Amino acid sequence: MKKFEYIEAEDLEDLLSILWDFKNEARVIAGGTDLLSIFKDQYLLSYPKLVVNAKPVKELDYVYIEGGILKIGALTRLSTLLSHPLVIEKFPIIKEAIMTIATPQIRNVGTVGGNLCQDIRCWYYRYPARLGGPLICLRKGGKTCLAIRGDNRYHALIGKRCYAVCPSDLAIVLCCLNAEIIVVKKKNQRKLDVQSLYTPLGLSLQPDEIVKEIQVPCNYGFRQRFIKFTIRRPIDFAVLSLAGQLKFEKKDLSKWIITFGGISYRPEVVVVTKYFQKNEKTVEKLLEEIVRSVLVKAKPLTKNAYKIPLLKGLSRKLIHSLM
Amino acid sequence: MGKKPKEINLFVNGKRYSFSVGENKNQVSPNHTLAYTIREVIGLKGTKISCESGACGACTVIMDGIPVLSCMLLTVECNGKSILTIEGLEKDGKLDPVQEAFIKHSAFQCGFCTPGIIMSSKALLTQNPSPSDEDIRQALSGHFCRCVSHYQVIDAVKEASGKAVTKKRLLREKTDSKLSIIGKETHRTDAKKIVTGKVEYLNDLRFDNLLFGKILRSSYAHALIKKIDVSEVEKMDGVKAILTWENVPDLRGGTPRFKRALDQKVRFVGDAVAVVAAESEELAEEAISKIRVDYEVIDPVIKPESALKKGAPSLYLEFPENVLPSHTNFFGPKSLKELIFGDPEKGLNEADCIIEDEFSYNGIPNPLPAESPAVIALWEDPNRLTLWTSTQAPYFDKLVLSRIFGKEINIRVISPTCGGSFGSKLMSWQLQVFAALLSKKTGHPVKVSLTKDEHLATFTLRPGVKLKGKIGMKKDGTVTAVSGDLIIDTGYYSFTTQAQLAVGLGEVQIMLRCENWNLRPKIVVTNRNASGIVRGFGGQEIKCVLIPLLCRAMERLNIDPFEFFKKNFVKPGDGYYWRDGKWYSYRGVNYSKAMEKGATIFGWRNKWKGWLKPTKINGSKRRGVGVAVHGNADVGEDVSEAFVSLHPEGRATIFSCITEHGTGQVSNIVKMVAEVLGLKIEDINLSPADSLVTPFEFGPVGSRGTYAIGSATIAAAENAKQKLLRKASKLFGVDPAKLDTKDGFVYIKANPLKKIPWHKIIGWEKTLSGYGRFEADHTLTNCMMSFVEVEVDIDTGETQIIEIVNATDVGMVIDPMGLEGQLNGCLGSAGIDTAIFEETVLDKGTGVILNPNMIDYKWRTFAELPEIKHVVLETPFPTHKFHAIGVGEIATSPGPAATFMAICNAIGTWLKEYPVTPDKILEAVKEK
Repeated sequence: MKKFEYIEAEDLEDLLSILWDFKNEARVIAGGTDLLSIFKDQYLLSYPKLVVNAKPVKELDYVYIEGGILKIGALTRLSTLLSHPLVIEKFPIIKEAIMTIATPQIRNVGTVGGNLCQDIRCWYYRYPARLGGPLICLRKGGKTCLAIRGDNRYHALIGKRCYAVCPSDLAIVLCCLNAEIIVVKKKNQRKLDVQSLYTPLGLSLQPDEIVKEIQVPCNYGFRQRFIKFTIRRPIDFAVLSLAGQLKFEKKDLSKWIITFGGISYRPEVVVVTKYFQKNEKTVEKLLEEIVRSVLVKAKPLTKNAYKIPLLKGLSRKLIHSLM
Repeated sequence: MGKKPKEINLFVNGKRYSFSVGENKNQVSPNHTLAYTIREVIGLKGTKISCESGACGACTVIMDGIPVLSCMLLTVECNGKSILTIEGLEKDGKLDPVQEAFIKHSAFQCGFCTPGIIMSSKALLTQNPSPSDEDIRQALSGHFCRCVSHYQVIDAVKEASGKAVTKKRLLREKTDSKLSIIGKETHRTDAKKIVTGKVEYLNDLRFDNLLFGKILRSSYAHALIKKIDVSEVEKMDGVKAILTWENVPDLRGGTPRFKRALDQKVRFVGDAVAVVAAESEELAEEAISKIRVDYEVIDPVIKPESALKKGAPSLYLEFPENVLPSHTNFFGPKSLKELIFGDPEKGLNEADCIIEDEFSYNGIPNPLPAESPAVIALWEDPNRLTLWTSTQAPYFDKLVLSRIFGKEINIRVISPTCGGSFGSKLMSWQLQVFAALLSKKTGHPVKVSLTKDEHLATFTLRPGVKLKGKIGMKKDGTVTAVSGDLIIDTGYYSFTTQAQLAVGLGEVQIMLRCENWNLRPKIVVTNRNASGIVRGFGGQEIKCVLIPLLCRAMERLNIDPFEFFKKNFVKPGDGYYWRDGKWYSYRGVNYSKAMEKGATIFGWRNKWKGWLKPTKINGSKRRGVGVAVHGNADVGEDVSEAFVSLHPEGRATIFSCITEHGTGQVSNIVKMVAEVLGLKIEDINLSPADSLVTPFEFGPVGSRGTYAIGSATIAAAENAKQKLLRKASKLFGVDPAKLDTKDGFVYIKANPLKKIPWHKIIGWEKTLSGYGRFEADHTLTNCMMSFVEVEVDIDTGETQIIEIVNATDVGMVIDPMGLEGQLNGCLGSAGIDTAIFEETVLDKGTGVILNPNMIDYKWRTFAELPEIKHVVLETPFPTHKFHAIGVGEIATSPGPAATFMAICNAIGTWLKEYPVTPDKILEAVKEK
């Protein structure tokens, strides 16, 4: 790693002031498991002058319920959520998702905010300097997304010039749970839905903004389930992931909320309301509707068309497991 | 605003360490990782660094009670933390129960990953004293182990938690051996050092005034260097030497010997452009980033098909058509470079079925040992070169380097314990040349070590192979002809690809009795990282494409593949052309019995439902089975020499240039010598693997450790023993044949109470030395049959391996736990998983390797382990003192083809290429 200056934020206000002053020259380190890879591989064209340690900001490490909303501080570690009674009792889907993320050692230091804000996994974008890189792709000022003409097996079905997918499993689950994200900067705070945190070319955060809190409404469904398809378990990032919850509005009137990861730069959401009976015919009909709806804008690249039958196969499993 | 820490306090293993923050030596800089501080500043070297990117678990330590990755934490962030490392587990000279259990179950092979695994195990047991198997797998799911210690580790953790361990994986038939050490469950001689983190690998050696070499790598797959500007670097303080193609001697390696160590032309993305030596790694990295290079870019040829096209750009002037000669001098004037004999035309006419098809094994997977390749060189004027290198065969390296540097350079190669190799590290000559030349220029020792991404993108891959071939087969499973073109993609140069081809062609005949052959190989160079030596050496690759072709013929004729392989595998009295082009008559055991037992344990006859038929269907899930076989007549390859000296106090020392690299062979030769001399294991010493102090040793490769190295060492021990008994016979007044020795006494066999201690025979101020030598013998082959059951989900294209049964006959087991570890290794080192997910992903347009990290390069985790069993028979081989033969190398080899077959059967259609990833299955199912 190249050299950088290092300071520790004493509290949230301090952290925000530092970011306000340094803007693009500073990077916040929380768990650090993604940030240190960025430093080590130097795949970006810039290198920060200053690293600000957010770990001492204890006021962002909490999990509690207030007014029917589960509130999670951004610096809460993934492993804390994994064993938290509120999560286990009310949001098993969060636990299910975290169990698939990285490895136990990474979950012991990785934070919720870090998971949401981690950099994309595109292998062109991340190609290290040490090996003759970095590669100049669209995100780094290049003309095109290198995946379009390259090996795009893990890339998006729905792209907006860049074909990287949202790397966060937690984002897929939180989006399904209709969570909101509180983002703060010095003297300002705003609320985003999960989808809005992501744009086709990166996070929607300003350089001096950070994620402060996740708010998850407790009006969760009758059943919730997360499915992550990977080449092997754990460690892998999702090839495709699905989070679903089933609610009953009235007797037999079912509401299916399903979010998809691995098909675009953000979680994609489908909501279907249907009178539902437990038989194969209605499952197939529901499946058709969900798949059609999420793939309406899909344009597969040269090597990722398999994600379409895969998405169908996984959606069928998800519907069955929610029934 | 903010706080800049001035002092960092760490409490490591109960001891407080204080550092000031700064850039000087012995200070902590903000960019230091905790792993660096623990290893380089505090000096606790048991914590290992492997991937350095948070994906392998090697650097795991326990911080405030939880396991964390020390390579992914900045030291400055850890102020005030309590850290427990592997060195802190031992209390008052007593090992932790976890460490004891790891020793008991031999829960390691090369041992490089072991300290990290032990730390996670310790943390688990502290938190959950009675974990289930699933808890253990999950807790260890962030640990990479390429040798595959997984199963024995789980046993050890269970043992440490006080649960009963019921081992059922190694299935031996009861033997009534009279031997006291051979075949018994003994601990590895280095076991305690491994579990306490005290084994020294290359990066654990410490040198004064050591410089660090770093390599500037090419951004292009094919380009001419027009200009290199190093002026910025020359100005840098602490930079001691720069190598470019312009200032290095014309040193060449490879087969043929045409590849320059540094060339004006670069031939793959990541090729070496310049090498810098500096006082620190950081400085060396900074230096290479300041070198400016002008390239003239040339069109690359990435795929072998494009390299072979008429008018394609040539990689080398010497080989304008991008095809290398198939011959290797190393195997003599007639080295096997094609299989053309008999009358293939006639054979095809006699066949009941002829199949023509194409298959490819082009995933170019990386064997990927945990410890990345590394070397330290010291050049002392005028011509003395000493290398400390991570290798499995130091004398082999000396041989290779002597040819490159010329015999006027006096070369000595020393290898500390090697953190895995699987053949690959035999290909380290370029790194060794860089380190040597940098040392020559600077007068300092210089280290050149690869990072894990360099390891993945620039170091040994398996060769890519494609077969377009024709098979003629009769209804009774007789193969009447094999004909076809083999395209072997070796990447940007060949180190030993010709040798791999020669051995592979020999191995094909061991698997397949056939009188008519016309197999024509072509070795093609392409603009990608080079292929080279990997466990399975040529045979695995060729089998992977030939077996599917045979399968199609078997399907047509409705032949059971198990019966087919059993019928066609070499039997005593059969023969084969081996790598030197000579015909050998096989004089080993008949492996049919082991194969039959394997089939019974696997339940082959119940599971086999016919070709392209699943064994079982459950919703979208289809089970399928497959089987394949491999055998290698290199178990007795090449020359080994050893000395054994007897010490008057009743101990012995073996002088042999053999490195422990995970196979346990070092312990095994100790066991063999102990058995011969009637000594305890702990009374045998072993010389360091140092070419200066030992005689010639080709090295523990190709499963030759047991037969070749073992026989040389046994001969040396027997030679010394004979001298001892002859001397003793004078004291006893009895014929030496009537004497034997045990526990440091010579006794009369008929009256064991009449005994004389060695010191009275040898004398206190003397030693007795014996010499042993082994000459190549290719008349024996080992054998491994692998049965595999898979489950394929046709909705998602996912394949899971459910069960593996390996069947072999080893003549005599030397070390049961070590043998099991080697056979479990079929799941590692680019083995079975190359059929389903292991591959190096190459951008076919630019030649960039896209997955040079341990997340995108897939390997098997603790969380996903199939059932595994090994049937091991012990039918004595007459040629070895203990009737044993080696088998470890081939554990990986039949599995991929068996898995490929199992998947085809599960989904009911033929596939064409490896690895069978979900996209390929979904495509095949759709087409069907």
